[in-house]
Amino acid sequence: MPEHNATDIDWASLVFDPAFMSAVDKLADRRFGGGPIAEEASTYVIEYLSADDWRKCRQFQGNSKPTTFLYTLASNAIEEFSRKRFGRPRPPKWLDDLGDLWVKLWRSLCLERQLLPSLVDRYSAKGFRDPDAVTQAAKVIKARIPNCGQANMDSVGVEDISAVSDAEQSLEPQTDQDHANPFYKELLLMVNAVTNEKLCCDSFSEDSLARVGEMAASSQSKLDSLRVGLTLSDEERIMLRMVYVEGLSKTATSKALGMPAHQAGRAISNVLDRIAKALEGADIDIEAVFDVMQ
Amino acid sequence: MANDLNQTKQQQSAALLALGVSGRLESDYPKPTDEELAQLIENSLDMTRRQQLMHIIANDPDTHKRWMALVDTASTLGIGAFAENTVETASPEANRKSFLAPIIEFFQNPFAGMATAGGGFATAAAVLFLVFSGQPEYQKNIDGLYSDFGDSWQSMPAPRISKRGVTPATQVELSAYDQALQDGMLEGLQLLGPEFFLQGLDVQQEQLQGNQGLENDQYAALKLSGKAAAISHFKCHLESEDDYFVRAMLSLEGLQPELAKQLDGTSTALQRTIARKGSARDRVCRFSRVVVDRLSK
Repeated sequence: MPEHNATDIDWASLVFDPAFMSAVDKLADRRFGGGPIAEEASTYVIEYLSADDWRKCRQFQGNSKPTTFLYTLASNAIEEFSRKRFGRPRPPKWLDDLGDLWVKLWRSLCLERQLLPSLVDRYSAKGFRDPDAVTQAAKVIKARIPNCGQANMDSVGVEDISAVSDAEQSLEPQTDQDHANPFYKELLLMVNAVTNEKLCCDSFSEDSLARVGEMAASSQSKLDSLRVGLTLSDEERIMLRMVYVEGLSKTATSKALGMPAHQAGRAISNVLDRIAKALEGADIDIEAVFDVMQ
Repeated sequence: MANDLNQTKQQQSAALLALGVSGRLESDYPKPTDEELAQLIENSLDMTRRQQLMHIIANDPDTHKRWMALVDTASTLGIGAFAENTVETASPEANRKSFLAPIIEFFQNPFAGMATAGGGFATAAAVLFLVFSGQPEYQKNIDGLYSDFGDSWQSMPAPRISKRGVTPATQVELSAYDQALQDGMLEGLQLLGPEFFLQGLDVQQEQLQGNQGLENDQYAALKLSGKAAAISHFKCHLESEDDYFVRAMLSLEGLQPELAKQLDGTSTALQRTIARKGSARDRVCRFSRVVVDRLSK
């Protein structure tokens, strides 16, 4: 039974309510750093919601609060505005796989040409994200995309991690090091990119990439063993991704998943223990992985 | 410090490796509508569909991005569970409520409480939190200790920490008042998780006894005292931050008026313990010892 009567809602009143308009401005400012672009975005959101006699709003079924539903649509509208305003080049696949923070940062830095300090402040406001995670992500993006922010920007070509990770991966141990699973090389590269604070422009040199490739080849059977020996639940994977890829605080992660504030931290601690045991069982030296590009 | 940083980075590397090798699974569930994502952020989805959405978010990058965008929006605007981030100004009526009296007094004479509370920015921040949280009920103050400090431990508990006085609480029949205290301790232990254990008080075995003829407010105050004592017991035994003791002390002072109204021995003992002088840490730890000792007899 729907909690709210979906047919009786006066969407115009809700949208033009000063509190909602103020919230839209806040979202636009956070996304675009204020100024005329943010104002354009706010206007776009209102047009998006009101188009075709509030057609998108009228998809509401009454199961959530009307305002939360409106905020969800507003969030979609802002991203649509960004794509229309700044174009829709696809992010490189390696970046796409890393997630929302990375793609947003790429758009903000490379397409919209926003300044990094202001992005760090906005993305880590109220303790939502670790500011170091945002800075690190930006550093890697700029290192791997040298012409980020320039006209006719193109990304450094890297192997398509998604095509490999989506493919059916054989569970047979790979013994031929000359034909190592390219996914593992990209995985080790990604691990270093996200965690290694000393990375800079020279870190992705041919020599450095070759060392990563050698490590991936020699570690193939161990990584296969890790994959077979470790099972993560959906919620565990989401939590790990939110904290260690998106850079969210554990409290914010708990809130997003509807848990008591400390529960995500506790759950992550438990799953890290299991991962540590699985790494030990697969004979993987995590310090060696961390150091390979130094 | 260098070791702590290295350990954090190693954990991050381990987490990323694990995520990488775990890959993605196919999902036959229908992708979420915008409204279902709104329900997810409100935590109002039914369990079955929630589990389905967790599966889709974990395995479909596009859905993961949609959801993360909404999480970002929720945090910015303070909606769903993020609504607790919203700062509200206390109304004049709220200011007159008894638990805020010591805080208002603090503002009128800012130096009066400094020596007791330990002084410094942490004190001011803790006081400001309570004044401006707009949440006068003492329930939320005690719950706030768990949500803000329940996960931050400067050292981890040993597998078991004993109460002083080893006698299991169940050997002696507790009064209704002490049973209320014990209910609070059990709730607190459940929130803290299985790493936190008190000998003689088995969270798996014991059940909450509930209000056994006490007035509702009296039961609530005693139960919250037990809950505050549970987290404080461990904060006192393991190295913990000063901010916790300042906030906990203020929370106990918020309970004091309700305890002072009651005439039973338990409430009187607790109220007198709160009233005794000392640093914030001394007062909070003394309080938790009194509660644990009562349940050890």
